[in-house]
Amino acid sequence: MTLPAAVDAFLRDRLFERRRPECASIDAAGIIRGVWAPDAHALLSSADVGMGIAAVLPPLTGQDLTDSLLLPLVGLPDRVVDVHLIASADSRFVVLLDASREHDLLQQRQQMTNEARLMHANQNRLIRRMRDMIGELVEARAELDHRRREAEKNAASQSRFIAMMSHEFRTPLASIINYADLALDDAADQATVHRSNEAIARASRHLKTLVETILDDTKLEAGKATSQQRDFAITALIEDLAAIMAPLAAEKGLAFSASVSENMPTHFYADDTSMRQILINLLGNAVKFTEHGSVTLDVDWQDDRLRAVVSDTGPGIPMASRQRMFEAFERGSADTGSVPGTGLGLAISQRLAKRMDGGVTIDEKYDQGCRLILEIAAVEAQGEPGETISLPQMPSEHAADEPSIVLLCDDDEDMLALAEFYMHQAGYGLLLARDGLEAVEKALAYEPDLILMDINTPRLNGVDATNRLRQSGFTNPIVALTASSARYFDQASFTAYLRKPIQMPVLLKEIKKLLHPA
Amino acid sequence: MSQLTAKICVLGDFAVGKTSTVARFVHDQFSDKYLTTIGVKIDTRELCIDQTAIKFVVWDVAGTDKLKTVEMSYLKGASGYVLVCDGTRGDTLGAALGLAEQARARFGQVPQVVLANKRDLATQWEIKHSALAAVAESGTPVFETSAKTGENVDGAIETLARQIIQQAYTSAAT
Repeated sequence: MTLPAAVDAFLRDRLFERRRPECASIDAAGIIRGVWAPDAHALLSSADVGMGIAAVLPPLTGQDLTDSLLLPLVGLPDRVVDVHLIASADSRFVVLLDASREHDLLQQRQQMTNEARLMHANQNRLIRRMRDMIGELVEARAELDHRRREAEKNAASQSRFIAMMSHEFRTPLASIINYADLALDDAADQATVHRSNEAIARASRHLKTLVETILDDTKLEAGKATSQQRDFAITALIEDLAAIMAPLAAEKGLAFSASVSENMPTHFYADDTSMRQILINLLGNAVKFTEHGSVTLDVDWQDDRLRAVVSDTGPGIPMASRQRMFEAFERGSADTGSVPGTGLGLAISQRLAKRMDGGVTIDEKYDQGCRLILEIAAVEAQGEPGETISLPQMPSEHAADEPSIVLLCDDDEDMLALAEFYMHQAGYGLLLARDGLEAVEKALAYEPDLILMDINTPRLNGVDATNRLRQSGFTNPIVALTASSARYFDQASFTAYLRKPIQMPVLLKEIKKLLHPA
Repeated sequence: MSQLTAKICVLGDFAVGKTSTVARFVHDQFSDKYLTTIGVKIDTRELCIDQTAIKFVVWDVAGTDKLKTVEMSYLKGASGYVLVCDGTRGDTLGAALGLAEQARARFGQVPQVVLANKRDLATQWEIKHSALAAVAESGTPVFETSAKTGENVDGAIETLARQIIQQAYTSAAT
């Protein structure tokens, strides 16, 4: 069967209606030789014979017109068409078929697909952003926690500092006030006035040092301190340090020695003032915290680095305190309550050392006590070969015993001397103790009528000493006498609490009241 | 004044802003509405660059991350490529560069520029500046553009035009 003419005509009509075909005949150079356009709306309706096809149909710009070609779904300003180039040996035809309907269907489908993909991409982006935000929140929380802990630590350090400063300032102030009163007392003889003036001068110098130490730390922290480098003799520096430290060590019965290695230069170019300050701090701590044995200083030099090692046979620094020991107002020793100090020395030393391109470190392996190592940059300067300095071990000195009906336990010599004068003048017998253990021993041996007990005493603090006495059956009045605030110690075992500085007449009045209650 | 007609193809993944970039370049218009391109859309614009009148026939090819046979047929005879990616979608830079590599393998090297589009949404960008700098270092000029505001669009295509003109003169001379 052949396609019936009616059906053929119907199909042709439908195809023509839907695809709206147009046709142009062109030559090999793309010049239009003939045009068939169904109506005035056709794309080729404006094409004339002799024109270039690319001028009418931009999609054919740059195309090779010698081969057949199909460009589907080409969007032109007015329509979407499939562009066909039908080429044979002797003829070329450009046929345009309308593709608007197919384009619209495809676009509808693709639009939905692309919008879904975009939504999915946006969802993924939001999820990533949420994860990032959660991560940032966790980090921010951790940072906040860290800052809070730091703030709490700083607040605790400041509280410790204030408590410590309260004690450190009140003790010399008490001496100054009471010795001034004593010097002004008409009953005081010339020797007493002289001794009082000496004590006032000593306490004033101590106060000055205390203030300077705090100012030094503030200056270093603010970065305002400057390094002063110059040529200096290392042996002279070590001798000076030995001259300062040996008597202090000797007072406690400690051996002290200082040495420089044999083959090192004698003169260096560095900040000797800062080095001296650091070593006084380190050696001072070593002497302060060591009760038995020795303190040594050994200095060596290598590769333009000076290394000073300060070793002692003291209690050492607990592992837990080592990380914080170079922070201001932190004190490393296990027994800090009984030893005076600001907690600034190591912090200042570390800052000074860092300013000299160095540092202070602790020898982790040393187990005989504490060993701190100062290392700074120092280049060799003109000078003589080094020498070894050593000082002999000095014997320990012990406090004298004197029985009395009032026992005073205090580690401040000025306070002891002042009390001795006033107590004797008032007719009291006086028993002296310089630490808690000594106070307990003397109290149990001589049973004084009243005890004046300082709280921050060496070896055994005043609270523990009092508790020990109460447990041993000691029932006489024990008065807490301290520069610290009452909230910093347990007052339960004490009969009364008096705060330094206290004027001697007031103290005598309180003693009288406690010994002879109305 | 010399005259030149050049076919340039705009390539890139879907919804990166190819059609919006062409609309900005050809008609200086922008629409927020996203309409998927099917097949290819053709537009023209004439420019005068350094004493050369150049007529651009711009082929805005439907977005894809891989050229198939049909899309390849659109690229034949192109003098340059405008490679568009979306700064807020990190994977679209790789897609654009992949399309350029496919085209180069089939038709050889032609001048090209990369447009990192949606500069107006800079706070949401995922594409790192370092990644764009690496592309620029490899020799393809890179522009951070916004079809929405028009930022850098003309500048990017003028740069491509200069490369095409340069290549045309070089070819003519040889």
